[in-house]
Amino acid sequence: MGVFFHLFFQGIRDLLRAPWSLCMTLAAITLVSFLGGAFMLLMHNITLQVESRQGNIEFQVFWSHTANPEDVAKDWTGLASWEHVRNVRTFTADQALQVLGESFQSTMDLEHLKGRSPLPLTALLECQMPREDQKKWASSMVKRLKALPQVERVSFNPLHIDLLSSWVGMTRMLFWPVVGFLLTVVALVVGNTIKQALLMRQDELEILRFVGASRAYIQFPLFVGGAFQGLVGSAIALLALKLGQDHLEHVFNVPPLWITISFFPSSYALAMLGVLTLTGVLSSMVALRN
Amino acid sequence: MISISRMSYSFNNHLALKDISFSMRQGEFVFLCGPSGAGKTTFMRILHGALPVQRGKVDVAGYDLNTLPERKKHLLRRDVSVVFQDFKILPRLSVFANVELPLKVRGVPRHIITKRVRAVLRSLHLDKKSFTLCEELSGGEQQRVAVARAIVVKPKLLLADEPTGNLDRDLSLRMMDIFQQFHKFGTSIIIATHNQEILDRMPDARIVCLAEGVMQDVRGTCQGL
Ligand SMILES: Nc1ncnc2c1ncn2[C@@H]1O[C@H](COP(=O)(O)OP(=O)(O)OP(=O)(O)O)[C@@H](O)[C@H]1O
Ligand SMILES: [Mg+2]
Repeated sequence: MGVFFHLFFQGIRDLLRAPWSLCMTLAAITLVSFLGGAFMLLMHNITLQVESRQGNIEFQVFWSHTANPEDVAKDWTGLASWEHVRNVRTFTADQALQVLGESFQSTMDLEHLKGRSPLPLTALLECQMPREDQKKWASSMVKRLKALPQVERVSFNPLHIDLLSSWVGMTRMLFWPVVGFLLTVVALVVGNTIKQALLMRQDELEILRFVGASRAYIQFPLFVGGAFQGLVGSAIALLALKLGQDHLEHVFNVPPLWITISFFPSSYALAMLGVLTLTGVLSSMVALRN
Repeated sequence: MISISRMSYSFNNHLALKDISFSMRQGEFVFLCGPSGAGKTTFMRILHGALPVQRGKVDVAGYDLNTLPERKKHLLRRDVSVVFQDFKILPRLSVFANVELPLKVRGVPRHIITKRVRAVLRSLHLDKKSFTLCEELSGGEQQRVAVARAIVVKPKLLLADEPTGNLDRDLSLRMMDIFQQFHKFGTSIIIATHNQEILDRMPDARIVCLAEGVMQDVRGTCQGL
């Protein structure tokens, strides 16, 4: 057990003996796993969007300017209980103005319009369409919404499903090739560092062999080194991804996208750590073979 | 301990060892002498598996070197210690760290390592230099570190390639005393040497002579030194 820990720390100490080489390797691994992780994040979010919007349709309901906000608010509370309605977002005139302002970011100051917003009362209804007779159902919905008091206009759009679906198809198709490519890059980088470490320590390893060190004794620290590089590199990448996701989480949560970027589940993150650690070990094995 | 029959070894197309047959009993003390370039180092390197057996049959300390795979060579090397002609010590490590190396790779517990290394260093007058880096040592001191590292594990067979080459007369004789002590405890020893005085002081020891790759048992003084 003592030998195990000794060799374990030996592996990490050996890496630290060439700090620059280690930094470069870690930077490369971090970059590559960041790319891989970003790709995973993209795929995850697109899939989420597609899943949540599969068969979804959004109705936009605009009330007339003369409508009384209090009466309309009562209708709003009723909308949520309609059949097939999954989500209702409502906007008073000022809220609509605010959202509009946000979508322009700060390029336009709409503050002065507050209180006399020109925008109508608005509701966005996200609905899950029934399986059959979708067209008929949609037009009946429009009719039903138009029939509400003071409603001026109703429009709807089937939430860009086609585009999203083709994105999913593409990312799914690209997933394995991209992962394979990125892992190969990681393997090459780690393998190269290990090879360098081997070269640097050639004399020492020769002497170790001559004084009776077993193959495992010599190779274990190198495996630890490979694993360490994979693990630390991917951990840094994950951290960067998480920070990036925190930063971008709400950036697209504005009209007309309404997309929150969510982080992939922790099982993905663990898988990423595991796969990169394994890649590190495997590539040090390959480096030792030659 | 060692049994060699009709072994030859060549580097590229230079034949360094020619058709050598040699055997050695457990506990024997053998001097290997011969002029420079005779093949002494090559002979020793084959015995501990640093060079492959090209032709002939070689059996050392119970290991058949014709068939011993690379991954099992450490077992042979745990029974056979070598003092290299060029020492092969790690210059950036302390004397102590160099000498403890073979014990460490065997997984010997810390407190035993400390005890054994200290004792060996004392016997070779290196105890005051324990924590000096080896690159700061003189040639003779480095040679003693190499010897200390070889004997600290109490090997079954000790191969020493010119272990007194860099030592003055007193130290050489002291070194031979140490080898003799080990020999008394049952270690088989082969020492390659040019040092005639050492040969003269041990009239009972067996002497084997290598000349241009050919081995001869001479028992007495080696001709051609
Ligand atoms: N790596 C090598 N490649 C080619 N030839 C070699 C190699 N090592 C040794 N030789 C040759 O083999 C022969 C025997 O060398 P070896 O080192 O065994 O001699 P030695 O008896 O130990 O000499 P010395 O007393 O000078 O140490 C020499 O002629 C040498 O040139
Ligand atoms: Mg020699």
